[in-house]
Parts: sequence; structure tokens; C-alpha cells
Amino acid sequence: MADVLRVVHYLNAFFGGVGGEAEAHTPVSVHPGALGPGRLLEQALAGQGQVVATLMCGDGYFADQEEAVVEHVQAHWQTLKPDVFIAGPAFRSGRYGLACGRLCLEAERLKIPAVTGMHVENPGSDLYRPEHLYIIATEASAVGMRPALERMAALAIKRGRCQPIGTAAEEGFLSRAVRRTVHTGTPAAIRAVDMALKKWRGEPYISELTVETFEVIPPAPPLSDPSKALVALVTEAGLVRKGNPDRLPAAAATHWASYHVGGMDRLVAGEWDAVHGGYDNTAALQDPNRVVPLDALRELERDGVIGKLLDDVFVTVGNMGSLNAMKRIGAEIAAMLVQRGVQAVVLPAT
Amino acid sequence: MAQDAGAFRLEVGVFPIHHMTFASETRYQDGTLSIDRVALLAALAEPRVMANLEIHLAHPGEACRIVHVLDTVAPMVKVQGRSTVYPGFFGTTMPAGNGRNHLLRGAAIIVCATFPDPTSGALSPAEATIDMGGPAAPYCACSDTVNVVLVCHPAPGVTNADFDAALHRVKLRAAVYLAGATAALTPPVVETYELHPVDPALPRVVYVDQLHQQGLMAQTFLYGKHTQGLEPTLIHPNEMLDGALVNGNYRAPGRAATYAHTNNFIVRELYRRHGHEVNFLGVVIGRGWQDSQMLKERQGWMMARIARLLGAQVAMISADVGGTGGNNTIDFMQTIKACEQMGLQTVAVMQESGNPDGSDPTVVDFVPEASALVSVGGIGWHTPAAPAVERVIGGTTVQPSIAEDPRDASGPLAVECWYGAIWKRAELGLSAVDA
Repeated sequence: MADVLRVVHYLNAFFGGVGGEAEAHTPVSVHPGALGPGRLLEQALAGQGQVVATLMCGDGYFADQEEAVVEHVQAHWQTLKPDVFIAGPAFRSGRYGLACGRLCLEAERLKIPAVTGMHVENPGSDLYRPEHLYIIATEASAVGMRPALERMAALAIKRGRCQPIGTAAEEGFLSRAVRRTVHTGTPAAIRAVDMALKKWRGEPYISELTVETFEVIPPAPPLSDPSKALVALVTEAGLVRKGNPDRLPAAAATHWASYHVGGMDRLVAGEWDAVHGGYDNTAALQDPNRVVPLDALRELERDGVIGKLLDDVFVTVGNMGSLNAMKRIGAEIAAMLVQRGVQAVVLPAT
Repeated sequence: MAQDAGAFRLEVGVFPIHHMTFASETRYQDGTLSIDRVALLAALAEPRVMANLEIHLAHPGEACRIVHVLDTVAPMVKVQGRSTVYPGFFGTTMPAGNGRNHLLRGAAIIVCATFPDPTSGALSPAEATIDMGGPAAPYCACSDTVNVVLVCHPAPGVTNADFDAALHRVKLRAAVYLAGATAALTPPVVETYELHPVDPALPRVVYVDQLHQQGLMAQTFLYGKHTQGLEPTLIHPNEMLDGALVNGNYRAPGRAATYAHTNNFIVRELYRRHGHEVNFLGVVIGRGWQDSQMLKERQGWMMARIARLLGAQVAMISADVGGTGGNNTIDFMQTIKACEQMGLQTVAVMQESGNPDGSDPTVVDFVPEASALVSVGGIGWHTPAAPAVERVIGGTTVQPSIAEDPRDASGPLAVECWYGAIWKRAELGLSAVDA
């Protein structure tokens, strides 16, 4: 007989039964056993799990003191040692959804399986689905409490017991930026024409791929005085020292390299290779400055337009780059640049 | 002439192939093709450009690996009609899509080679490998056909361009020579391809096919001419069946092949449903990988306007037989957008990219109009590695990535993507779901 899973449940103060003005500013507290909807949750767990404690916090308090709350909750987890962490469901309540998402993320980082639930339009959904969290899709309001808790409980049991998890459609969670290969048993052409006929007839159909929105990156504020700035060259063009000593691949790079250009007025053809598999490298090999314009930047340095050029260039290959890998590579290079006092970056693209 | 050249009525006499062998004469009998290797070599030899041509046979299920694959071609020959198969490469080119062909079904010609001059960047051949047996075989195109493998070696001093041109001539001549063994025979089965008039109430469907064209090593030929400057145009599906599109694209092992153009998956399906559920109007072709944002947006409109002017109501859209992994995804999405905005209902077949475990955004570009998508999954997702094999055709080492050292081609091999993976995944019915 399987052990009963130790479940810790997170609720906001409203669902925890604290009413009125006080509710949003209630600091985080811990209560033994289940509170409010936690009792329904326990029923849904049907003996497979027990809510050993409930953590409760006002949404306003969480929003104002997020890091402190997270630390408190982490400390509680240390003591309570849950097998599974369940948060919400938050329905469309935005601050609640953000709180649930953040806490589930922290739980996962500590290797505690976590499940939450919210409506697809909850801001917490947009922010935390790309983190691969398991978020059960719920209705917009607490009218959908029971089915939400039932699905959350079912998924939590599977996660707690390390059982195989079904697809998003089967388990009822929101797409979490993970794809799994399936054998449909039907060739793509047949599926495609079937879908076209449904679309033509106005019948419902399900697209096999729904596109995610991409994060909008706001640009950094402009330099106050470029003539005093330390500037670095960073590129995804795959321009490397001859022989590709750091073994950058032609595509799907997961690392980067840096090359010393101190004392060079320009890049010399024959000393550099271009390994990026997405553009015709002939022009770059004939004159590497076309792709990494060291000559132009040296001119700007001499003319005092920029203060100084960093004597290392940073290189990766952007071709077919995985978004997550490029985020990490960017962060690693940026950390290095900040350490060296660089204030601006020139990014020649391909 | 009894037949009108614009009739676009093509008969295909189908001869099944189960086995091939070398013998003293080239002969087809009961599913077996015997090949006079000396005669075939004489028919193909190009001593100015090719130093040496090897001819091998590989059967499904063998513990055999084929490396440095560049293209695969269906063996066929035109036995009646005024054109040839693969028009534009042999003699007069016009018109195609008529007459009668004989096709060896269940067979393929594979051409393998290494180019004489080194290349890098986009206009470079990528390693492409076929395992005929073992766990990777189901994911390789042409692991289920009996293959005549032509391993070509460049003559000293020949340029990449001249060698490439010779490779096309050699593989297509081989196709015609081998199918020619059946020229005087009566086919057991004759398939007829014709877009006869149908119930006008059926939805008018066009196939919008984005071709791969960037330059040498990454090109598609239309009637013998590369498509670098191609503006979108209309072709009849029979022209595709007849070999009007020939592949010269060696980037990314998952790519399209000449075989995948003559055996195009969407063309076959639309023909199957013509008159029953659809009114198949024809095929709009254009090239992807346009060089700027402006040209990519323009490309979408140039494709869509042909479809619209044809009176199409529905557009089935694919690129490189499902290959939408690079910046051509932008041209592809622009085409979907333009078709939808011109009032066509679209369904697009595409691949996904990103991490093999799928935990990364899998599409690099999108438009809100792309609401009906069929996915074949990611090119290398969840495909098995292969064990060592007994026989290797085409070379002794492989280098699946420039970041790694070349290794023994006969040893265990894990590659990101086996040959023809995208069209194979389309045929197999692989897809991906949110999990």
C-alpha cells in the first residue's frame, strides 16, 4: 500500500476565511491541516494524500513583500517536508495567480513537485507557464472550484508518486512550453486535409501547434556620453579563430567563446573562420571585418566617438539557437561585461 | 497528334520492386530488377567531371548505412508522350505532365558524394545518413525502398558547381536507365492522374509549396533551371509527378528530396480527394529564404495573389515538405498571413524546432493568422541512436556536426536528424502535443 502523500496547501487570505479590509494585508501564516477549500481538496485526494498544513497570505501582502514571503514559505517547507505543494486555485485573481506561480516555481527549485490552478488569462499564467509549471486550467471564478480541485488533486498525486503524466489535454493543465512526440497513426497530409475541410465547413478543429507570444525586451536607456564609454563587440555571427578552437557548432549553439583583439586595428582574413550555418560565409572569409567591424570601431575609438573598445570580442552562433540557450548565453556574457565595466555593446547581426 | 499538350493527363504504369541484383543484363521480372552494372556505368560515366563512380545496392532491413547522402530520385521513364521525365535536364523540356510513364515503385536511386572544395556557412552540404536496418531505420527516408546507391567522386580540378551539375545529370540518367528496363513491358497497374471537372460546390483547394532556394548546395530546379529569381507561379500537380521539380538542396539532413517532389505528400492526398471532397485546382510554387524582411513579406503576398487569382478558397501550405526550421519560417508565416488576408482558409504543415525534449519555444516566428497548423514534431525529437553496422556505403567517416571530430561511419551513431526526417515524419504520422 502506497504511503499517504504529505501535501502543503497555499491559499490567499480571502479563501482562507479572513474577510474585509484586513484580508489583503494579512502576513503569511501557517495552519495545521486544511482550511476552507483545502477541505474539498482533501476529499479530492481521496486518502492518497493529506493536507498536513495550510500556508495563507494576503495577496496585497505578498505583492509588497514577495521575497520575504518566499523566504518564510521556504522555511516552512523545510519544517513541514511536503511530498507535494498545491497552490490555489487562483481563477482570474491576478495577484493570487502571481503568488501561486512564484511559490510553485520555488517549490520546483527545491525539488518539491508543485501544482497550481488558474484561468488561462490570469497574469500568473503568462508569466509562469514558460517556466514549465503545472497549472491546471480553471474557470474564471470560484464557480469552478470543485472541478479545479479534482484535477489539481489528480495531477498532484501523479507528481507526488512519480507516475507518468499525460498530455496537457488529458490532464487538464495549461500548455507549459514542453512538447512531446506522439504517433498519431495518420499521415500528416491526411490530418491536414481533414483539418482544412473542418475549417472550411465551420466545424471546430484543434490546431496541433499553438504559437506562444514572445517576451518583449525593453531597450536599455541611451548612453549619456559615448565618448567616455567602454564598448564591447558581441556577435552571434559565428566568427571564430581559424580552426574553430572552441568548437562552436554551425547551429544550435549552447556555448560561446571570446577572442582577444587587443592591439589589432582590423581583423585579418585568413586568421578567422566563419562557422555560422545560416548565411553564406564567403564574404566574411574574404574580409572578416564585414561581419565583426573591428576596423570601423577602431576608427570610432581614434576619433573619440566612443571611449574605448574592449580588447575581447564575444562570439556565439545564433543559427537555429534555442531560445533558452541564447537567454543563458546572453546572461553569461552580460555578467562578464558588467564585471569588466562595459557600458555599451555593439551587436552585429547576420 | 492525338493528345493535346495542355491536357495534363498522365498515366503511370507502376512496376513494383522487391529486390535488385547485379547480372549480365538489365531486366525486370516479377518484382526483381537485375542490373548490368557495366552498362549502367557506361550510361552514366562523366570522366571529365567524375573520376570514379561506384554503384551499390542496399535492401530494407540490411545492417547497412549509407552516408554523405545528397538526394534521392524515383526511377521512372516516359514511354509515351512528347516530353521526358525530369524535363529540363534531357533535351527539349516542354510540356510535362502528359503521356505515360513507367515507375519502379519501392525503389530509389540515392546519390552520395563529397564535394571537392571545402564549404562553410549556409551554402554547405550537411551530413545525411540512412540506416537500412536497426532502430533508426524507421526514421530515415528510403530505409523502406530498394536502393541503387551511386557514390560519385570528383575528377581532379573540377569545381563544386561543375561537380554538382554532373551529379544531377548522373542521378536522373540512372533513374531513366533503370526504369527503362520496363519500357517494353505491360504494367500490372496503371494509375491515371487528371484533374477532371467536379461538382462546383466542392471547396476549391490549392497547394502552396514553398521551395528551398538560396544558392549552390541549397537549391531547387524547375524544369532544369534553379529558382533563385523565381516569382511565384502556377504548376499542375502532374508536372510535379513528372519530375519538373528536382532537388539540389543539401543543407540540413531532414530536407526535401527529388523523390519527395515527385511523390509529394500533399499532392497525393489532394488527388485522392479530388472530386469527392475537394476541387484540386493546382499548385502554387515560390521560393522561400528570401534575403530581407521586405522580400519575405513580399513573398507572402506574391504567393497568395496567385492562389486568389486562381479562385482558390482553401490553401494547403508547406515548405521543403514540412521543413520550416530556419529563417524561411518567416516567409512561410507571411504566406499564411497573406492567404488568410486574401480570404483563403489555410492549413499549414510545419516542423517544430528547439530542444530535443521540446522544452523550448518551438516556432521562431508566427502570425496570428496561423490558426490551423499540422505539426510533424521536431526534426530530431525522440529519434533513436543507431548501433554499429556491418556495411557502410558512401564513405568511411562521418561528421554529423562541425563542432565534433569525424568518426568511424560504421560505429554506433547518434545524430540530431536522420536523412529525410521531415517527410518521413509526415508519412509516419508523427506529431507533437503539449505535455
